[in-house]
Parts: sequence; C-alpha cells; structure tokens
Amino acid sequence: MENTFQESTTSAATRVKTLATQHTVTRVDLDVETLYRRYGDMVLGRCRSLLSNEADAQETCQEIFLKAHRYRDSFRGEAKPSTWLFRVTTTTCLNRLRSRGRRREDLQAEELPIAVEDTVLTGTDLRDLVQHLLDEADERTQACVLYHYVDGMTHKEIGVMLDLSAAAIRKRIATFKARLAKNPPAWLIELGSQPTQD
Amino acid sequence: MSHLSTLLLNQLRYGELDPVQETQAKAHLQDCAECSARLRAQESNRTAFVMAPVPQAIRESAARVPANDNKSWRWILLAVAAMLLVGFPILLNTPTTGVEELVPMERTKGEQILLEAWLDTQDGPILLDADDRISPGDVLQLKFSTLDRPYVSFGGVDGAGIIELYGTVQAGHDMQIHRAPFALQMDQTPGEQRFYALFTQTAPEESTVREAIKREVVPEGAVLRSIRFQKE
Repeated sequence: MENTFQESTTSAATRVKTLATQHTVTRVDLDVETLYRRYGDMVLGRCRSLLSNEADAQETCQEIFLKAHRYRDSFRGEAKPSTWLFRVTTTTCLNRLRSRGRRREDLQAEELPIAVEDTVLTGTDLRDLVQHLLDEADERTQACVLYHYVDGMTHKEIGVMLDLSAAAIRKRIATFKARLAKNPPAWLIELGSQPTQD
Repeated sequence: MSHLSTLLLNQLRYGELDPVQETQAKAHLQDCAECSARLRAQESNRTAFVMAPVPQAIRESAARVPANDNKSWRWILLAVAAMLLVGFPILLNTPTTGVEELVPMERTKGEQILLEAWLDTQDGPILLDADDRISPGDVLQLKFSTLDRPYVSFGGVDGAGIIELYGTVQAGHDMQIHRAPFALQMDQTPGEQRFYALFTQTAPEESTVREAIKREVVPEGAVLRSIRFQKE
C-alpha cells in the first residue's frame, strides 16, 4: 500500500500559506491564545447566553478554543475566523444542551450567569425558545431557528452559515413555527409581528 | 425594522466588515436603539473579558505548540502513527503486501467497495454497526476495500460539524480488505460522528475530498462511502 500522507502534508502547508496571504489570517492569528484574546468575549458570551450556566459556559468556551486550535485546518478559506467560531460555538452549545437531557424545570431553576444581552431574544424568552427547540426540532432546524430568532440573521445569512439554500432555511423555520402555532409563546407573537428579511 | 445579526455586531467590533457593510451597519445603528444597546452590551462584555486572565488550559495549549509550527503537525503525527501501525516498509517506500490483511469475514461478492469501523476492545476488535454508540477515548480502526478505484481518502465530521481530513492512501487494484494506516481515538465532542472514504482513480486534491465530505457530492467516477455513529 503506497502512502501519500507526506504529499498531503505538503499541500496542507501550502494551503495555509495561501490562506494567510489572501485573508490576512496570519499564523499568529491562529495561535490559540491570540485567538482566545481576540474572540474569547464573543464565544464566552454566546456560551453564557445559550447554556445559562456559568461553569458550563467557561468549560465549553475553553473546549471550543482548544478544538479550534486542533482543527485549524477546518477554517474555510472564504470564512472569517469569527464566522467559523460563531458557528462552532452554536453547534457545540446545542450539542451540550442535548446531551444534558434536562427537564424544563431544571433550566428555569438554574441561576443565570452574567448575561450578555446582545441577542434579539434574551433572558427567559431565550430560554423558552431553547427549550422548545430541544423538545420539538431536529438538530439542523435547531441551529436555523436559533440563528433566525435569537441572532436576527436573514434566511440568506443562515444559508451561507449552514451551506443550505434560503428556501430550505425558510421551510425549516416555518415547520418549527407551525408546531408552536397552537399555543404560541409571547416572544414568537412579538417577533412574528415584525417584518423579516430573506 | 429588522435588526443587525449578533455575528455582524461582533464583526463590526472586530473591524472585519468590508467598507460597504460597515457603512450600512453604522447607519442602521444610528436609527436603531435596540441594536445600539446590543452593541453596547458586547462592548461592555469585552471590557470585562479583557480584565480576566486567560485560562490555564489555553495558555498551556499555546505553550505546547512552537510559534513556528505549521498546520502540517497533525499530518506528521498521522504519518508517524501510520508507520507504527503498518510498519517501516511505508517509511522506506517499499511494497507492503505482507502487512495488508484480509479480514476473515464473509461478504457478498459484488460489494467490494466498502468502509467499516472496528472498535478496539480488550477482547479484540469488534465490527461496529451503523448508529452504534461510541464514547470518548474509544479507539477505532477503519477498514476498506477498493475494487477498481485505488486511491482512498479518509475524513470525518464530528458532532460540532468540524471536518477533519485524515489523509489519502493508494491501495492498488485488488479484492482485499485493507486496514487504514492510522487509528482514531475519539475526543469529547458529543453527537453524531461520521467517517467518510472517497474512492478515486487518481489521487484527489484535498479540496475535492473536503467538498465531497462537506456536501456529500461525489466527483465523477468516484465513490463515497460513509458510516456514522452516535458519540455519547
């Protein structure tokens, strides 16, 4: 069996060099501590907002940066590190919430960490949405709905983030919304009355 | 009025927007009290964040990797692991027919292109079924057969959606079942873990393999096989 791993090593190194030239993402930028100092506030803030638990947020934030360092090849050429980290943070937090397998009462009884109210939905509305997501949506839909209702992203922006079409995003969000139609939460009624963008 | 997204607000602070986006965002902020408040919340969070020390785990991780290290380290580690697994003939670039193994198991003739994952256990390797549950720390070995597409490129996607490329091997035209020249130890990321093998006639570009894994779109003449497990 002939091995081409050495060739792969060369091409990976070349690709990194190209990435650094075209997007001014230098080696220093990708160093884990530099990455943390630059983007840690965004990642930690988002972990706090989504996980509603300080210890979990701190642990998840560290895990994300260590992962970012380990898998820095996964930075896509066309994406900014902030976009990549935002997506990985969202997915990691949703995974963690799913693996917690918590009941609604547990979430609501928990003490909130220092919240960063930089999202469209915050506080109890955000927690209520997260619980509905865990109860009633599949993994991909969870991310779509979160980006749309919590982060105020357009269908097109979400599509770029998740490699899906805007139409597919719209459909997933509409399906989720339909599930809540019988007994819509207050935040959905309020957001539903505002115009949205594609 | 629709609002600026959380990510866009972050990118505005980080100076990552292009001039047009930045102008539009600033114009929106002048008229939108809600987005201005969200931006201030981020700025306030930033102020608190920079006052806090960098976690020990992050500093230790940074210290372990030399400043002039490049991204090839992982490939080098994999190559070393491959050598250890299949022996020094690979290092010397000599034929390795002797270490290629035929897995003693019944298979249906005509289904020669396959991809399997075997879990290392104290009682020996166990063939995993689709959607089997695996755990952090588990060591998996991929096995495959190629038929008439001798180049096999391996990759995976973890529960966080991160794509990792493991490398490409040339296995030759044969009917045998080979063992991938590396072992995979599972990390802590929960969720669905997928493994991919792209079988091609010629050695593919890394971008081709990544694209095939990302979109599950197969280049002409190639075959993509995947297996998935739930990691707890």
